[in-house]
Amino acid sequence: MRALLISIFLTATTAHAQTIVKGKLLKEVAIEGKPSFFFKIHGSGRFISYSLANDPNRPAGAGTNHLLELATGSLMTIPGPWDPVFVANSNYMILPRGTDASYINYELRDLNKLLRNNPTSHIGDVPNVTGLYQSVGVLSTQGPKTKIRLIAEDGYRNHKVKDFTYNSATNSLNVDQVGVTHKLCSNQDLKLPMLSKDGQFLGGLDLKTKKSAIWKINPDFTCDKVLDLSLKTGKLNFSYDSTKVTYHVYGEPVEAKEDAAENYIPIPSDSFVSDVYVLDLRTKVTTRVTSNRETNSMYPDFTADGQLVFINHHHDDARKVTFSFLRL
Amino acid sequence: MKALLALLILMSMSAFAKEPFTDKDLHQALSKNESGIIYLWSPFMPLSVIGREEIIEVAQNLNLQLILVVDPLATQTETPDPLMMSRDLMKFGVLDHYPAIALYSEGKLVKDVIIHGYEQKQTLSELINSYLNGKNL
Repeated sequence: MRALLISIFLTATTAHAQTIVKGKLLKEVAIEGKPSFFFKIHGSGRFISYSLANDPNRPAGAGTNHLLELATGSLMTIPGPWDPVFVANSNYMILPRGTDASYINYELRDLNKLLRNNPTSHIGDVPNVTGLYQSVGVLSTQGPKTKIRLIAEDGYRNHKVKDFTYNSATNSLNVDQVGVTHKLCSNQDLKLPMLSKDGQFLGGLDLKTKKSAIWKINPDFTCDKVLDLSLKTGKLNFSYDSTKVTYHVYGEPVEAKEDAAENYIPIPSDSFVSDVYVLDLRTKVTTRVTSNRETNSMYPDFTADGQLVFINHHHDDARKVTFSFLRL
Repeated sequence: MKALLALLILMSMSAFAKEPFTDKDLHQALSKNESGIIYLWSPFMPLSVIGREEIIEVAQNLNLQLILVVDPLATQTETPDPLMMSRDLMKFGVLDHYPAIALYSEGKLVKDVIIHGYEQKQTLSELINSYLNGKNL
């Protein structure tokens, strides 16, 4: 693995383009480059993973995965073309292998070793799973054993689920489970599922209602819908205790900009604004977190201690992409 | 010489400056009463970039019109694709994930159909064909 330490611009900015309407902004981190919209925050809040297109100006090729350590500002290139995923709050990551859009394999990596550029960070391949748009949860942790659930899309409306155990004491994947891959939610019609951190629930797009929804995963890997959100959202993420979900939604156009959108303008219109929401699954109360006019706040997720983290793509192209950390 | 170089660079940049794809453009396309595909991609989403090349082939094979539009946050790409600034498409939900495919036929968008996420060419051809033929998948 080739690791590259890149200088990075980290700031605690004082002027915020996004408008926080709920919660206390703890910090905002600006970075160089425009990550692909999928980014992941580690459960500790100490690391961010994301992908960058190799050349965002050209319609060709895959991206490159990156791992940012917030305390030091060091940015590393890590394996895989896209979709680098932390295994919740654990010391592991699952990274796609391959560079094209065929349904690709996944590998388990040791996060600490990745950070030290240790070439032995590769623990093993996750066998018999191919797919795109992976999502990962931790089913249980017992001493050195971490039971991990990985889901991935493998064809239209076809999702696979793989449960396996990694034993860090013996550095082995559980051979009893590695050969078994199940179809996920075969009784449902859904797309773009995201697992809860405990691997027991998923949020996604219900293709029958065309709305986002939440399902419970049964022991036989069928799924029961437990909540329809009655709206279509960006990808959902669960809190670590599975009592909340967070998502972004594109808002209504800013009417003051109506004329501008109809005329030639070389920069993105302010009409397109996305905002972050949190839904409490116990009370069913939805809280709007941002109310933007010039920024798209997107792909929110939680840390293990309940901070809300999301990415901001500012309409002003001169502004750097930022990550906001909030306490609700 | 420097001035000439600067001019050439400016000309090159303006060639790829992003024009918007607005509701007016959408309704103009729909008014032709043809069948077609609207493909929204983002340079920040690698799979949507790969899919951009593939959808051209899919549209050709299916003999469908193709409108390529790009993430409104992408101010500069080396493509002529306009920025997605159609509010009707936004309300339709295309921005929720990249790539996103909307279909149109007989002067209107195919109701409730958005194909989100990368799909391989064969699957995509079958899906588009089915939706345009009114099959409720």
